[in-house]
Amino acid sequence: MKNSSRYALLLLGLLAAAIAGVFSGAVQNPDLEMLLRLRLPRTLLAALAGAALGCCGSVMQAVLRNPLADPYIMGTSAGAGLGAVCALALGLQTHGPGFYALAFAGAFCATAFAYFMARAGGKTSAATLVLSGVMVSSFCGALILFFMIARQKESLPALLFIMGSVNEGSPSQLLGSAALFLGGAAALLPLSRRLDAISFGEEKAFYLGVNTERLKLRAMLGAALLACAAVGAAGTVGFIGLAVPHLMRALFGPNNRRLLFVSALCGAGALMAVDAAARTLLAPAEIPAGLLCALCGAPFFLYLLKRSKNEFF
Amino acid sequence: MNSSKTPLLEAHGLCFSYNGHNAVDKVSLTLTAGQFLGIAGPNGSGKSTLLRLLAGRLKPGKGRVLLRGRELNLVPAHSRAAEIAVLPPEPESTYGFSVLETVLMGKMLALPWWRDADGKALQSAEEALELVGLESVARRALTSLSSGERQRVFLAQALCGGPKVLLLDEPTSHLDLRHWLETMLLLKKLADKGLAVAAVLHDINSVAEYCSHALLLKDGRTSASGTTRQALTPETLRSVYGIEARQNGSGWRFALSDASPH
Repeated sequence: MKNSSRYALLLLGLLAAAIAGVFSGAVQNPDLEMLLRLRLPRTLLAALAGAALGCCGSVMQAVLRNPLADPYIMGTSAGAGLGAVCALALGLQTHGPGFYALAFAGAFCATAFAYFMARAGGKTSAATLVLSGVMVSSFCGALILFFMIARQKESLPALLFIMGSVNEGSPSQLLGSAALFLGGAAALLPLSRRLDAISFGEEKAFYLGVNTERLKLRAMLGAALLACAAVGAAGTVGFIGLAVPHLMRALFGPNNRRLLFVSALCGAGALMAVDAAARTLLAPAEIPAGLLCALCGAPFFLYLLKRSKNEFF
Repeated sequence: MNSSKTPLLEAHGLCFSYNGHNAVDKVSLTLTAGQFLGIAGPNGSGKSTLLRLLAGRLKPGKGRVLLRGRELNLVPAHSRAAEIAVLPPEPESTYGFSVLETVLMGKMLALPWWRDADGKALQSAEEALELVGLESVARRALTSLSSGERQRVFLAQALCGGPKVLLLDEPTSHLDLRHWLETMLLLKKLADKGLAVAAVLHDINSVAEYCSHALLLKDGRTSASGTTRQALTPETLRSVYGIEARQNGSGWRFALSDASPH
């Protein structure tokens, strides 16, 4: 299949997911105004969160040279969720600047902590990295639960952060997530060639002229911005950041300049489709999108583990 | 290893230790254009550490490395990479980049991220692949090649940027006899054309036959250095490896010595 056909297929899927996102679901007598007022922002939020997760996953897999890395497994999303819940506890405006600043700080600190805990003797083992990410993720999740029990008033938004759920949203939520996504993508795209080089190991990248420590710091900051955009839009949705880069790498190759772009497109389509399914499968009840992603994503993770024959470790 | 030519890479009194163990101890050398230096010594004698110090990957505890007279750690990363190409012993290849993409990688890093490889860059990559005899696999994924082929792809990557200094750590470790011979002849030819080459080699006969200069290390210290003829003698080989060495034509024959410390 030619690359142009693959792009056409991807755009077609994106369009289908967008149509499903706006028009599907338990709506009696839908009218245009309702669709524009409620469904369009919700679909846009799902697209933003999915795009941010797809892009974030491909950056993490490149810079950590680990095909099992994603913002959910590495604790980045949980860190952003914890930061957001702290903002709620401090009485900051939901989806305001302080809220996003704390979510960003949480995402960056969680990723950096998981990475440095896994690093020993100048090397980072993939197995240790995944384990330390899972531990950081569990720790942040436990703190969020602790907060929910202590402050029952704010427990519903906190629960939505943990489960991952897209709702109708507000203009400030949409704007905040869009700004963070654009900021993250703008920070990461210029790094794409250096991300290609670090795929051959830090030592090789150094010899090719890459300042590897600076690259890792910039990539983690960019990934934290993207994770914040995703958490702000849809809470901690897992596995999109893992599965989408894999699928796109298989279709378009490992070149990160292309991969970041197509992973964003595919992630947007995937989460819009998941959100549409979440609204329709048990209508009129809604399933949290994060739950559906975990139902599909966890078997995919296990499939990758089985297929890898332990070569990632 | 003195030469009338201006040195490209110099090391003065290099020391480096891991956890208190002196891996490299007061080693000095000079690498000039056209020189092919073979670095040899027993396992754990500090060869790879010395190469990493010369490449700027490790910072010496004492001593300094100069690139064209300038402190190596003050040279910007892209300028260093343009002058010094390094072939590590076992480069990783996590994702399926094509052979051509891999060879082009050094060139592409010098371009703005939005620009594609131009005809000139593609031509240098194809020429580098031709030099290592892999032009027929340019479109294949690197991960589908054997370890020997991958080693030659990374040699092509090192040559593609047109470096002035080439540092190699066991460049022939995965190669069959024919490709071993082709690689050693290629390195000699590149040195004859003016490239400064330093290679960690285990095979003393390779050092004797293809290198212009040799440096023998033992316990991190220089045991012998100079032209190959000066550095490789039965005495220096006995002192470094604890074996009996006898010259046989242009090559060497070895036997275990009773006095061997090992």
